[in-house]
Amino acid sequence: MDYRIVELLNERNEKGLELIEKKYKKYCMTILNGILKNENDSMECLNDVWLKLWNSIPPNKPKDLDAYIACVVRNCAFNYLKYQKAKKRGGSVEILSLNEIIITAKETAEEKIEVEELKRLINAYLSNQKKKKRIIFVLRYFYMLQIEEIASLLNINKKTISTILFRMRQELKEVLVKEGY
Amino acid sequence: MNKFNEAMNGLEPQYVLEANPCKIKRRKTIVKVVILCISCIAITMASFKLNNKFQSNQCVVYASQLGSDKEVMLGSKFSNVGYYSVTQSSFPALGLRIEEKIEYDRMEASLIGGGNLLKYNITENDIWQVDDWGNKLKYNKNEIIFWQPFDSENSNTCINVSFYLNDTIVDNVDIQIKGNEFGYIAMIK
Repeated sequence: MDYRIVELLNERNEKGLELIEKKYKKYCMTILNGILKNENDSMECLNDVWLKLWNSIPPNKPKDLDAYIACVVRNCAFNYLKYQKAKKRGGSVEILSLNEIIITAKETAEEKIEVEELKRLINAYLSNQKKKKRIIFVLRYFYMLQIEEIASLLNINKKTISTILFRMRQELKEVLVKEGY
Repeated sequence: MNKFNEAMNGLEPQYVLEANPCKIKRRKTIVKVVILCISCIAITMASFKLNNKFQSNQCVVYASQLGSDKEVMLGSKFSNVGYYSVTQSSFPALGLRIEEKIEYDRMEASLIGGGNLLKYNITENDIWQVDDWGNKLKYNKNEIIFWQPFDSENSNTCINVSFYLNDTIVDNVDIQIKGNEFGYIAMIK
């Protein structure tokens, strides 16, 4: 079905968007709610997601539509947050989980390369982890779910989740420091 | 956007997919449904096995009216077993002859519903009632179980016969008898 959706979008057929909405609305809302923590904001942002998907396919031709949509949704959600924050002139919207890993942001021309390198390191780090730990990490830092939500989703104690995440953060920090971050 | 967050967007699709919360939820639901179905099947099978533990249908029941040569083999559907009438019939009771394939040494019949279980001694020339009667009676191997209704119409009775070998139940059969305006119909439950 995903292949058909991408084909339809490439043909600029709106049926593709309908199919995406039908199949991925719940998924998108899960990610949006995880980041925005507000149903109304998520609904508002969802329209941006459809528009962005419509505008980005083509030229993009994603192989894994799930993962591609997840990235688009995350981008839209963070842009929405940024926009809301700017609107409120430094309002109280905080992304707590983002503060859990302190990475100094340098606004340099090399930023893009650094991000690419960071992607590589994170992927390499995750590839060495057990599946269960990796899922917890991705649920927390990609899908931005609360620890309580992860605990209920995976039927694991909240404390265990916190401990696993703490250790993973420490390990990742060590890796990043070793690589000069 | 924070650099870390930006980098997280470049996660391997495989990691993003394996942690998809919707899929995890769906998987959890499927697992729950499967467990529920397996439990239901197990419970059904267990109860079926319990119910049928001693109901191996290894016996054939013939309903024969006393004093008559006519015999009706009972099946799983009601068959007419006679025109016995309390007021008009000369037959004192409805006889049930059971041929059991499993080895047994005695039978025990119990009655749920109206009427009485009886015992008769039958010789070539005579028939007489043995003292024993009631809603629960012990019978010897191959002995005919007699049932006498209180009235012919609207009675609905179930006779449960257990077969014993060395005081252990080896088989069991339920015979359901219904009365109507013409007589009685019976079946094996």
